[in-house]
Amino acid sequence: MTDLEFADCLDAIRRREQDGLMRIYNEYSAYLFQVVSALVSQREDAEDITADLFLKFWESPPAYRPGKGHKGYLATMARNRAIDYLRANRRTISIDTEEEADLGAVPSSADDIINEIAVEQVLAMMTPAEREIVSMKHLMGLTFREIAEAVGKPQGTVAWIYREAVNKIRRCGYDR
Amino acid sequence: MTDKDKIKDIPEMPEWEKAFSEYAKDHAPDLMPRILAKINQSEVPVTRAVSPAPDDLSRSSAEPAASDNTEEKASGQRKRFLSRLLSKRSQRWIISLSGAAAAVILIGVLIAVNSRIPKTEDRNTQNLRNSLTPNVILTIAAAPTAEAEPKGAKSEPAEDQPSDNQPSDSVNYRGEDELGITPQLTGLYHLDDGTTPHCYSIDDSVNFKHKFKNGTATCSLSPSDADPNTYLLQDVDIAGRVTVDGSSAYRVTYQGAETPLVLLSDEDISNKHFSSIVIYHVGYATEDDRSYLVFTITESAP
Repeated sequence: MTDLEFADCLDAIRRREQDGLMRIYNEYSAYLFQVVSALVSQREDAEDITADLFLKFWESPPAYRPGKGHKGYLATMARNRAIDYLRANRRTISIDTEEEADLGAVPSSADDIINEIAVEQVLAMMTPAEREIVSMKHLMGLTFREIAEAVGKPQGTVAWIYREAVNKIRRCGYDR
Repeated sequence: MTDKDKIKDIPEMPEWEKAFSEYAKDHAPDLMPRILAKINQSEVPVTRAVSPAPDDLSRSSAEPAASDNTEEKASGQRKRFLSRLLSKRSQRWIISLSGAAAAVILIGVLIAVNSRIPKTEDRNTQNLRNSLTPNVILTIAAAPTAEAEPKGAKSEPAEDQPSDNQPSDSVNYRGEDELGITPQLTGLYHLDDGTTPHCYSIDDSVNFKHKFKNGTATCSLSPSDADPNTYLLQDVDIAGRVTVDGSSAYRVTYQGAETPLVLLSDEDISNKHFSSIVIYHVGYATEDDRSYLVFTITESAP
């Protein structure tokens, strides 16, 4: 989805057309859920936060200007909502991968099973910060600059965290 | 190596990115029904959020997902969403209301218990009222030389209520003293319970102690060596005395109802000789609603 398409979706939402919301949801909900899950330990909480994020879009569509990078904008919104939730509920930032594994979809093939186990193994090795940055980088396609703006850290720090995460990914068998 | 160099040095991970993307899509929750239900709920005016009945909830969850009726499907999803939402909120509300109810009950119990316990001051006041003799507590007077009928309203209770402890031979009447005041009784009567007078011989030194509302009055009363007809009042210590103009004083009156009250201090009353001393409690008829002792004192002749 391009910036212009994202802006069109927002315009549709302002016209109270649910199609605009559906398009954003179909494009980014899975990735935003991963971004939120990196910060929130409970899957149900992550679901609530992600759903609230889209409800927020519907209730008060943001005044977004095309060209600023809507992915980073979405990632920042998701991250801020997760942090607000954590502050309100005094939860610790941790990842409970076991619960996610229980509630996840059932893989369809042996390769999928192996792939899923491997991904979960990688995610389990990552710190929340690493998982957050990897989600933004690999799922949302954000640049380091956009990630740095989203997480409020220097670009070099983000790159360093990302490098650490990549090393863990490599140790789990993903060379490329 | 600059930050940009570090970033450039990080290799691409297409294989991982693909796997991670698929994993994210496979594990993404289906949030759209919940979002639509919320949107529809907020856009349809609802006066009150009603939790669906358990039967409805079980029925909706038991319905097959492949229902052809999209409206029923949406309704079931809405119900599931509402039930989940309401259950979380209900838990919070139940916890909050339980805490508030417990606090209210605790406060009520404390108030009830507190109301059943009489206050110390009130109980002391009640005991004092019951124990006080309004007119005569202590009476000592110079003994007349000739026998005479005791007179005076203040002495009547003591005479009217003779006690077994009262030694009759210790009562001596000596007639009017030099000040022309007719002594009433010889002896020291201490009506500690308001009904039974105890008589002490005036020949002995008497340590007087009386409890009253605001404290304890103590003094030592003994016959004067210089004048057997007079008595020495010593070691006066009366707590809760009347306060006049910020300084404590005894309310002392010479015997006789028409005699105006004279306020005396500790120095005024101590170590002086009195031919007649009547100490009695007058109750609570004071300006400041404080009890105090009234010394009816007949001062001995200089």
